[in-house]
Amino acid sequence: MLQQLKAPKLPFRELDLLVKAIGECRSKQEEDRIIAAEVDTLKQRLSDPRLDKTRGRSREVDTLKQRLSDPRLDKTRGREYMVRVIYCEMLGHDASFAYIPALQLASDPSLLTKKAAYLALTQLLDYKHELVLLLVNTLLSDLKSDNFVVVASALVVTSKLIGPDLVNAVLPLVIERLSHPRESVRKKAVMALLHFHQMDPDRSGPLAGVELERHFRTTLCDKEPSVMAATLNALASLAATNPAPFRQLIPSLTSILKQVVEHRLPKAYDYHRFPAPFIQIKLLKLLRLLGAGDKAASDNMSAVVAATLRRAAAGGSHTIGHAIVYEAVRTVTDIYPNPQLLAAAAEAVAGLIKSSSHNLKYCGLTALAAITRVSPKYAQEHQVAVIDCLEDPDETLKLKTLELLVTMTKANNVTVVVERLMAFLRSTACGGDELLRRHIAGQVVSLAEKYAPDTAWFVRVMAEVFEVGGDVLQPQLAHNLCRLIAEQDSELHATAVRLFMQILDNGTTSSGGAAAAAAAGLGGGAAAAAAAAGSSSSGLLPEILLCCICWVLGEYGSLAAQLPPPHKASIGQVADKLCAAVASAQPSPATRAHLLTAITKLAARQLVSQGGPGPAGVLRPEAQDLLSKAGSSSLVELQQRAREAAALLKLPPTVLSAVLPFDGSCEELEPAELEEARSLSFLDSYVNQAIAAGAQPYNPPPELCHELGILDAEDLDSLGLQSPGAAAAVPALGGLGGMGLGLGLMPAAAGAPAAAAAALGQQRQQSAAAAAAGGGVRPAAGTALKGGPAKGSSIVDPFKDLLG
Amino acid sequence: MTIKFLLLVNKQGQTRLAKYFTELLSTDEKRALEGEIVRKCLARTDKQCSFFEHRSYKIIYRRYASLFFMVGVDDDENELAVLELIHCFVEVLDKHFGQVCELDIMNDPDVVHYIMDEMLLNGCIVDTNKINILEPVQLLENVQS
Repeated sequence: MLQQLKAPKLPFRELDLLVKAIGECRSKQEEDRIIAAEVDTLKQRLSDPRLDKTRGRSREVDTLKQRLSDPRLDKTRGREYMVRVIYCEMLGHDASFAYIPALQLASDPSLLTKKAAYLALTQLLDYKHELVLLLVNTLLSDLKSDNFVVVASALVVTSKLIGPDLVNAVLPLVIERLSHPRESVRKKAVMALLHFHQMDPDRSGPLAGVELERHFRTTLCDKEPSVMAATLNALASLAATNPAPFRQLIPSLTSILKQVVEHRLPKAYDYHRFPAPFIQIKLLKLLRLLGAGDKAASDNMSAVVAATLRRAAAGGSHTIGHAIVYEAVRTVTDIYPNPQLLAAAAEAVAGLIKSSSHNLKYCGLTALAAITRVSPKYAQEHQVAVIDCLEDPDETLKLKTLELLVTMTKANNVTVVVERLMAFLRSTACGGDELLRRHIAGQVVSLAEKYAPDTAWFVRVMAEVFEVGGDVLQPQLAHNLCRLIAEQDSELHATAVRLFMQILDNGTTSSGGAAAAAAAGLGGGAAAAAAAAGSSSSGLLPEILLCCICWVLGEYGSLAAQLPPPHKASIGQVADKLCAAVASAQPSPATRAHLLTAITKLAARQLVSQGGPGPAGVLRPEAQDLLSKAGSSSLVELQQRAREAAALLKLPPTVLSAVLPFDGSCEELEPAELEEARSLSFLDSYVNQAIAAGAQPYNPPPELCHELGILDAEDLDSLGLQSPGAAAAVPALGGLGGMGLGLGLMPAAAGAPAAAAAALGQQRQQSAAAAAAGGGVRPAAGTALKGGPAKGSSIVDPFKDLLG
Repeated sequence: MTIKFLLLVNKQGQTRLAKYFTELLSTDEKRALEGEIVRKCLARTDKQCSFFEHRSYKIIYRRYASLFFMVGVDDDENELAVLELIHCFVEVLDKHFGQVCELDIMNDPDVVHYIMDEMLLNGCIVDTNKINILEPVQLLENVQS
């Protein structure tokens, strides 16, 4: 349809020079230069006093003088300047110099100049701009004009530039124009009213008390279909917020739709032999809004919707016919479910999906997803066609299919669906778009949680998702996964260890291969192939995955010795791998803290199993290095853990196995035990001994008193202090929570002993230290402190005094 | 359920016409958006669908000779209907200019805007009846000559 360039057929204008120059320019810089020159010229011309005089003359002068100065030239100039201004703005230059001249030209009697000025104003300004106020008088006089084109133009400007504060000025006139003899004016008046409604949807501002609905009901019955169609837009907008009052219109709407599909509108409204298709679509949309959730309303419309669908499907293979079919299907799925309608819709959708056009497939998939939500059985019939769409190279289509698959997922096909989603997540199409990755990763997680066939599969999938999409997932998921692993039996522990070892082994660049290889090991053949085909987008393991690995290997790494080769590894090797992986990934302090604890646990395990330090010393060189670095770190958490680790590892193996037992993270605590842990009552005898020997009794800080219930909130306020040891509890909790993933302790209970311990530690490190290490360590203390050394310890090494 | 903008951009990425409906963007934002969308359109092949997503919009485009007609809508819109709307618009232009070409649009951008105003207001389709649309525009031409 569009052809080669041809010569312009209008009289010569400077505009033509500009157009020619822009058309021939070869680069953005050249274009910028041309436009900048144009802007300068325009600024000059538009602010030229001579321009005003010329225009002024053609306004107020008598007929003779008008004929003398060629009015046509002036008018064309006005229009021409405005068009040139529009060009400048369209090509990215500021055109604010033209605001005032445009306002002036808007009141020009020449129709062309006026319209051009209005156009420039609507392109440059919006309803929030303060200069619009200056336009109101012109608009008001134009709305009253005898020339319907002028009235129509004024209405167009009104729909764009009138803001809430100016609505009242124009509202009465616009309402009057609803009964203008010309349809061109009436339909624009309807749209202007719609715009006003959108400025004040709650009727709390300028439209308070105005009943727009009444006007719309009248225009709905206008003899001109175009006015009726414009009203449909307004009704759709109103019904979107509150459909109830409009349900009584359903009989009128169904009657109109019936007339339309039966070709009873003037031929001029036909489009490619379809009767007023855009009006049909509008009506279907409106009926959808009104019928949703209301059985009676839906029943009223079902016959006509069915007829519309039938006729559109039979009307031949033009895109607009498919558009009507698509809209009808969406209406059917959103209103109250009707089996015959749904069956007809499913049939229509089958046609869409099987077509060769990508656009039709896309819409077919969306429609199928909508149908599946209402009535799942239809999806099964089309599974083959849907899977075909998945193979399509078009990314948009692939994404749509994935969304459809997600709605179709059940326990029997979840593995396949998740495979596909993971493959998509790894693919480059997903790469840069973070929103998309977060969406897909979230889908995978929720599907896995809902439909996982067994725990091993779940762990593998979660590890994969962490690896590929870890940066867009919630850290909480790591906690959940570790907790889940902790609750399983040792067989799963072993497989989890093997999985994570493999991920570490394959390093960071081909982690895709790692998870895939691990997957093969765990028995997911096809999945491995699909996953291995993709490649990991970033080179580093995400934090969330590192945290998981640290915890699992820390708790169960000793099981690695029992794995068959090539995964078999001694505890020392496991520790090495951990250190190496973490070192290369530059993790956050939280992850490093996890690592320290993991190393500690592994070393403790080794000590316990060997019955004492082996010939190679307690720790491997890298681990030792890490610990000593952390010991002098500026981050308190790391320092604390490092020093605790160093001290713990000096304990005799029997004590160590009580303090850091194997696989004890899930043990439940009795309330009595919790209470003991909370109040540290088992230390009472020791404390009393020390006081009797002359030591000062402990004087806890006021915040802690409140926490322990000794002080009230008012006392605390009077002291000018903040209430709960939330501040105190959090860092301690971080220590406890971090090490005790899967600990199962309630935060409050965990906070109290930790806070108490921390506070005690600050003041009376001997008592706490002695209690923990002394012979009176009862199982209660051991259980309270399981999973990691969370006793009262501080900067100073608590055990130094005792153990010498 | 509304159209946010309509763009006519040629294969070199030069904007020939830009109409924004209810979106309130600054000039810089508009030009940046246009550049991004055009780049995406130019990168697509014939084998792909005519729709894609960009930020919060869905873009539906159609190519006629050297010009891309691109419409940005929000999520709930009927994509096939918008495709046909673009085609209807081109048919109207064709009827008015007689075998419309890119230069026609460049020479008379205001007329193209007026035609658009008869068809779309505030992002809603108002009329697709060619006679209704072209009558006022024809009158303008008569005034001019």
